[in-house]
Amino acid sequence: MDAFSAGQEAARQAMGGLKDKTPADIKLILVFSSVVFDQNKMLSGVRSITENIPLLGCSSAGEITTAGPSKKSVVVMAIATDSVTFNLAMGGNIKEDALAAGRTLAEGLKAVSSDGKLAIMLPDGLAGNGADIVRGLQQVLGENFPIVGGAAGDDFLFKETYEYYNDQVLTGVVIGAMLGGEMKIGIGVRHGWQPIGPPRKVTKSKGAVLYELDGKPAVQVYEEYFGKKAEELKSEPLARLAITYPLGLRIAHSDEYLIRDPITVGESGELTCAAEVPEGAEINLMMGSRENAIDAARQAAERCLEEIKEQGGNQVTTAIVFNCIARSKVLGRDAQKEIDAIKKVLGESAQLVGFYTYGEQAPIGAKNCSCGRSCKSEFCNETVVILGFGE
Amino acid sequence: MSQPISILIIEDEEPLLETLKLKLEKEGFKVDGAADGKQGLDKIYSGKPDLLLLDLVLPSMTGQDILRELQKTQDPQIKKMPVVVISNSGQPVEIKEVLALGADDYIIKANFTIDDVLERVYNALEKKSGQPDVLVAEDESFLRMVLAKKLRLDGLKVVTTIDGDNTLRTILEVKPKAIVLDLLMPGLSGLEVLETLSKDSAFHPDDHRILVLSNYSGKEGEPIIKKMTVGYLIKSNCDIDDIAKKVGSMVEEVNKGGQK
Amino acid sequence: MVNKEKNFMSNKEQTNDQPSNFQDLAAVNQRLAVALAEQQRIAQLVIQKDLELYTLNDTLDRQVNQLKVLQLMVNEVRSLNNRDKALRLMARRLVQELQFSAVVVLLGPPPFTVGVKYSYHEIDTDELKRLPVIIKAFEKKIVYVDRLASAGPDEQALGKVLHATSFVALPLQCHQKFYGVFICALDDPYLRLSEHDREFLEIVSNAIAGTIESLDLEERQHYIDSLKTEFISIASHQLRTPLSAIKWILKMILNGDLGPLNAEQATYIDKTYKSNERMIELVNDLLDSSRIEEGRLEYTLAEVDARLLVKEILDQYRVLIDRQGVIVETNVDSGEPAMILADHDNLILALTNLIDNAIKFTPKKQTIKILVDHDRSFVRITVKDTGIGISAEDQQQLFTKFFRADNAKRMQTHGTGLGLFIANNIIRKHKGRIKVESEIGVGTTVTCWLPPAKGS
Repeated sequence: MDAFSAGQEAARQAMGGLKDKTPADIKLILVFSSVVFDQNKMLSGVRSITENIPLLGCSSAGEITTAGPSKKSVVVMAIATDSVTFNLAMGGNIKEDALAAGRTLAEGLKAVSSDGKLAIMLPDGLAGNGADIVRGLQQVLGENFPIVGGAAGDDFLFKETYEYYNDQVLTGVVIGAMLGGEMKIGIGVRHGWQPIGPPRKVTKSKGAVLYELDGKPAVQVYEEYFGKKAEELKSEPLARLAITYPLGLRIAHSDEYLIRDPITVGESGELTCAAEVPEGAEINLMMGSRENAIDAARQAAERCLEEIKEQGGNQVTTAIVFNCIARSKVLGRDAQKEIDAIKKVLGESAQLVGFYTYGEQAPIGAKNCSCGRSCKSEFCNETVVILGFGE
Repeated sequence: MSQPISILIIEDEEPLLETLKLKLEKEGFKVDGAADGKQGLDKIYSGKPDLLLLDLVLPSMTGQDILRELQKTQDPQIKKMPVVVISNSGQPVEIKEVLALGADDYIIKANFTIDDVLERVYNALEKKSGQPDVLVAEDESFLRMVLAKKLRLDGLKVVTTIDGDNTLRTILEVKPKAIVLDLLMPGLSGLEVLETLSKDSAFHPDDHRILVLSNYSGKEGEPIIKKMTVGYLIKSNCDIDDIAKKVGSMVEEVNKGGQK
Repeated sequence: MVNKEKNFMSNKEQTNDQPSNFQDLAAVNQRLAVALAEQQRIAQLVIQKDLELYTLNDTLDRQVNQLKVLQLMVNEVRSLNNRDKALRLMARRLVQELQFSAVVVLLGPPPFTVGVKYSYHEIDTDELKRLPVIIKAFEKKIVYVDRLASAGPDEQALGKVLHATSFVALPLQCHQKFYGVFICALDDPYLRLSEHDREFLEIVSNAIAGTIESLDLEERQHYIDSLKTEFISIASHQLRTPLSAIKWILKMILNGDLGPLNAEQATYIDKTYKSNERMIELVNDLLDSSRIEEGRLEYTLAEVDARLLVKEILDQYRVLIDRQGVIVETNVDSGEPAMILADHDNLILALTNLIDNAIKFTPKKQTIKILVDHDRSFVRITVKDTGIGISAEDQQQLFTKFFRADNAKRMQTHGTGLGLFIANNIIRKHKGRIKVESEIGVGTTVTCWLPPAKGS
């Protein structure tokens, strides 16, 4: 119950599993925690066990371990490896300039790592345009550099999210790690949402703010479909409803739509989304279902395993799961089934850690994408992203 | 005992004097009496009794005066003579006074039995005459009396105490060879007595043997008991003969040289 | 579906520069518009249904979870006998498995004590206890706030203390007795306690009240039992004092220490002595049984040869055996050692009780067999007598306290009836077993199996 003990206990269990390794072998500590705990106390609790081992993490809207999904908990994973290097860096304030924040992070990552192969990013979930942050990273690292990550959450309250960087609890920034060395990596990205109803055109937008669809205030698309719930759209954060009925963008080289969650409604009916919605693009309302969500998770796991096999590996040992909170909402009590489906594909010996995010970052190239694995990373919603390490 | 012990009773109440004389003689003592203070004092000087039973309220000379006289004496035998005062009132002021004047013990006239007298007499005699063989520390009077009687029948010199504080004092002052110790007593408990003795350098464990005699089961395992005593017997489960035999052997051990 | 729409959409933008095709295009556009509108309408329907389904699923999820948790709670608590532990377990389940943010159980009447407080927030229970709305809840005035904003000042105060936006305070009632107040709260500003939630929580509060009541009863029973045991212990110790005085003085009289006795006097004094001995035995038995009840008989286990234990007892009983005129056949003087892990004094006590019974109930000139051997891996001690036997129905009750089989009573032998109870308890504590086989008029065989000492 007490934040310090919760953090400490989770860390102890994680480190306990690596009893036979020396502290020098443990390269990274991942921490994902509910905001129900005092963040500083919780992190101190973790650090009391992990001490100076590099630590990366963030607050979440639910946590994931090999056992399955959990709420109001702290999860810690300690990674020991002699072939992969993890180097941490921090980006700037997202609200001020999301693009610059991404760039700063990328520069930081490049500086600490000479042979970086993959970047993991954990941006604040409520501070600004997620896609801009990704773009900022790509400006420095290259458009096709693999970037994977999840935006911090806060138990579906949409008030404030936090990022953990070694011993600091931060907010409003993006942090990350550059992975170098020898590794077999697989990335699986799917969401499973389907478009419903006729498409609309984005007639006015600026960055992540969507002003008009087909010349009408953007919020009307929800008012039209959700009728009596319209009033509540203004009092509760729109995010809570829209998260299961988000907007979808058609994009090149993907058979799935790129999803954009509206987060808030403005005075004149404009929707601020989790990432930008380009003017002139085509938008559809999207609908999810339990079956599709579980199926999508399975497909993502399969893709992840396939990529490992393509590199000569035959199993996934560790997987980090960035899972959109929307999926958890749609799945309800079947959330365990989604994780089970992933585990079934990856194998019982795979160790899982992850959290429910307010946005995911991953290369969403289709299976048959000609550019292979190094497809451009995007900021997504409603997606399950599985980053697998194999051997 | 080659010669019977002589006791002088100075008591002006005739019936009481007669009763005491009879009982004490039955017990084997040689008893003389005096009904007058001055007469009594003369008999002390002439007879030099082994023990004096002294009433306080007397004609011609009070008990306190007699005590004052006795304090002045140079005669070693009379100096050695134990005095048991018979007090009418039992008032603490009076008791304090007579003890300060050199009395060894006292009986309160209002509520004594012949057994009380005997107990006082024996205690006073044994304390003055050198190291007694046994100390029986037991607050239950009947049990105490029976055990003391049995041990005396076996020829042992016995003193008794009825509470923890006195037990401790008697052990340190009078150094009885064998100690039969009850655990539940008023004042200090038997265990507390043992604890105190174990820390007191004036107590030489080799010169004594302690036997715990209790009706309480449950303390046998206490470390202090294991350290300080030679046994722990339950009264109701032991025959008095066996207890007497055990005590006898304890005394013999101490006599032989003491080392455990 | 989508692709076609897209193509048509872009077509709509085409400028109308072919007047001859205008009518066709217009008709197509008309049909297109209708199709689109239809699509829109269907989409709307689908979404409405989907939303309903989603809401329903959500509610169903909650209810299913609630039922699961309720069952879990009830099952877990059933095996507990500590009230605080039970309350804590229930509160933890409610908070961790369901969406509640805080559970507080106050035990009343006011001023309350805190039965359990489980919450992710700091709750000032002192303040909570004093709130008038809580005191009223104890008096059956249920508090149910689904939305803090629309509640009165008293409820607002409660919400503040609980850091909650939606909560209930229910009286804990079972069988006309009131045990306190059950408070459950939600801190999610967008979730509310529904009517159904309230019904569920009422069931929970009943379950909690029921648990408190049954644990209270159990506790009271245990307390009464412990008082009884304590009383027996104190009384037994006290009784020993006069009994020992009588024992000693009678012995001294019998010895002749207080003067000579004539034969008649000696006989009666002897009878009195024996009678007193029986009283001492009874008091000792009472004490032993009360100590067993309290679990206070301390066991120090050591390796010991079971044959030697039996020998020790037979030596002690030599006099009685001769007096009773019974013949004892035994194999403990020969054969292999029978090593067991035992507490010497306690096992002697148990075996003494069995051997004592055998000697008492076997008539003159009859034989008692006491054997120590091995049966499979166990050490087996058998005490077989040819005495009066025990009837089948009496055999059932032998190991309960204070029972003496009917015919034993008629035989006018003495015995307290605690012997077998004590023996059974001790053998069981040594992880062994006792079995009694008997036939009226033929005899009784008591068999004990004890686990062997390791390495033997």
